[in-house]
Amino acid sequence: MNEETLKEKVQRAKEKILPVWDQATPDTSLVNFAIEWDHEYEELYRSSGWGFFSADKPRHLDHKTREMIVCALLAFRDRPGAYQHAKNALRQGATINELMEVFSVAVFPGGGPTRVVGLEGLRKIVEEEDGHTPIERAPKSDSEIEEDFSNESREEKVNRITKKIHADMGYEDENISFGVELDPDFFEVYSKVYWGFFEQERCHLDPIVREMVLLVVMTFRGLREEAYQHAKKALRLGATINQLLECHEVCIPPAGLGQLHEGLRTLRIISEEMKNNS
Amino acid sequence: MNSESYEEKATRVAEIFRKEREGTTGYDNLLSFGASIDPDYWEAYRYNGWGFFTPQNKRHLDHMTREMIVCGVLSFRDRPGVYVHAKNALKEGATLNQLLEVFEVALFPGGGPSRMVGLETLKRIVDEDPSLVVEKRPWRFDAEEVARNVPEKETREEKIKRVTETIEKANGYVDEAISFGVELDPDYFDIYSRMHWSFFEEKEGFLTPIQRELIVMAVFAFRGFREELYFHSKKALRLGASMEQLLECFQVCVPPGGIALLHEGLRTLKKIHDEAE
Repeated sequence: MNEETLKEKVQRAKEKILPVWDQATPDTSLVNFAIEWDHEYEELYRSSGWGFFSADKPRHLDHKTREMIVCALLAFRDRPGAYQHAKNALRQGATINELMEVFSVAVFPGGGPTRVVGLEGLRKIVEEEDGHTPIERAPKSDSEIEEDFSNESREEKVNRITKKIHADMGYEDENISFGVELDPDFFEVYSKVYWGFFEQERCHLDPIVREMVLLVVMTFRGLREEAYQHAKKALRLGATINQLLECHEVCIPPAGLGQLHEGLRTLRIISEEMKNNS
Repeated sequence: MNSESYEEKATRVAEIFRKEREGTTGYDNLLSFGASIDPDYWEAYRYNGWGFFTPQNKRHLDHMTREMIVCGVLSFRDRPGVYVHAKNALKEGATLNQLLEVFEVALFPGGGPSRMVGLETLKRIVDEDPSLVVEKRPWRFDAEEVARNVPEKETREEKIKRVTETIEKANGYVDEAISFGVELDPDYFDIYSRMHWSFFEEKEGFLTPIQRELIVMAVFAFRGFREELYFHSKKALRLGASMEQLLECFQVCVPPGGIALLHEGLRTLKKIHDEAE
């Protein structure tokens, strides 16, 4: 290979990379530019980066789930890749409603802009492609939203809201209890969306996938306590450590190596706790 | 200067910003607009922020390296300033290949978007100036050869040992979390170690190994990743960087990264300093 000229090597790299270039990105000018200026790095990046995970190679996660997780992270970062990976997820069998739920869940760790970026991407897809129709969500079950709490005391209210939030979180958080005690009215309203909304309805995503979306964005942001709790919740719901590790692995391309390091730290702590408890 | 009117000061300070950005943004920019509205603040910002570091003010880092570090942080933040500072770096003697390596390295702490932002910027620069030409890297990297060098028949245990050793050698330290990951998923780490822990190693590329570490450190400091910042700071020192150079790396990043970046950096440097005592 060493006799090859730079031009020949660039050409060979193009022939190798471009045919498998992400179909959701028709513009290849940037990847062409990257190959021309540093084909060695680009070749390795393609095979060792996202290229490790392909649709025909399910490991602990199916490819649709990987794409949806990446979508959430890229939406948080306000990157056009959110649209591209949403298209990939649709090709893997996701529905617009599932993707909408990804972005709705990603609001919790990522804030409103994450959802807005996601919505913009989904609207663009729906405008470009025929055949996407909304899927009706099943009606609510016995939601407590309908109940009348007008006669309860402040203390009863604090207790009710604290219990609801803790039941949803799966653990008791002293800071949240402190917050509810200070301002029960705010937490009552907020708990309707942020704690329990998805549990009270039949949704489009599996609860484990929702936890994975939360986990990767929390981890990206370095929010260790939250990442730890959501990883534990995902495990309680039936996820495996290997699935959670793959969540972080697929997020190296959109998030960088720190994502994997942070994720591993959390998983290692949980794994050791599990060993000690068994 | 005290005799000048507010309007005169506004015009003067706005002109400073306009001139500085000439040839980069190419038009009367936003900073100039800000300066025309609040010249007192903008003058203070100009001389106490980035303005402290000028090509003439040679301290511990050369100005080209400063500009490249700033490019690394701004690419993580997806800011148009990447273009401005990339052009500044070129003016200071950087090559396009060096800048490309900045973004390739920034991908490690910042993820793919950092590199994409950098690529978009460099493509724009090359489109504007087609005279820029590709240079050959001082060493060759053959991804296929690396893949061929992997033992065909190795047990899972042998693979874990080989991959862990590769990563630890590149890191220069033992990371228990990484060891835990390799144990769980050796196949993934085998492939990933070729990219993230083998490509640059400590070889002189278009950038020096120290320059690469400074870029990685700046982005980790911005993101508040303390463990990574600590290890990369120690690696930079091992490679021959001085404490003063590391501090200057954080100092030049206050304008693109905020004062918290400097605080994060100082915490790390103090920890390393205290450990050495």
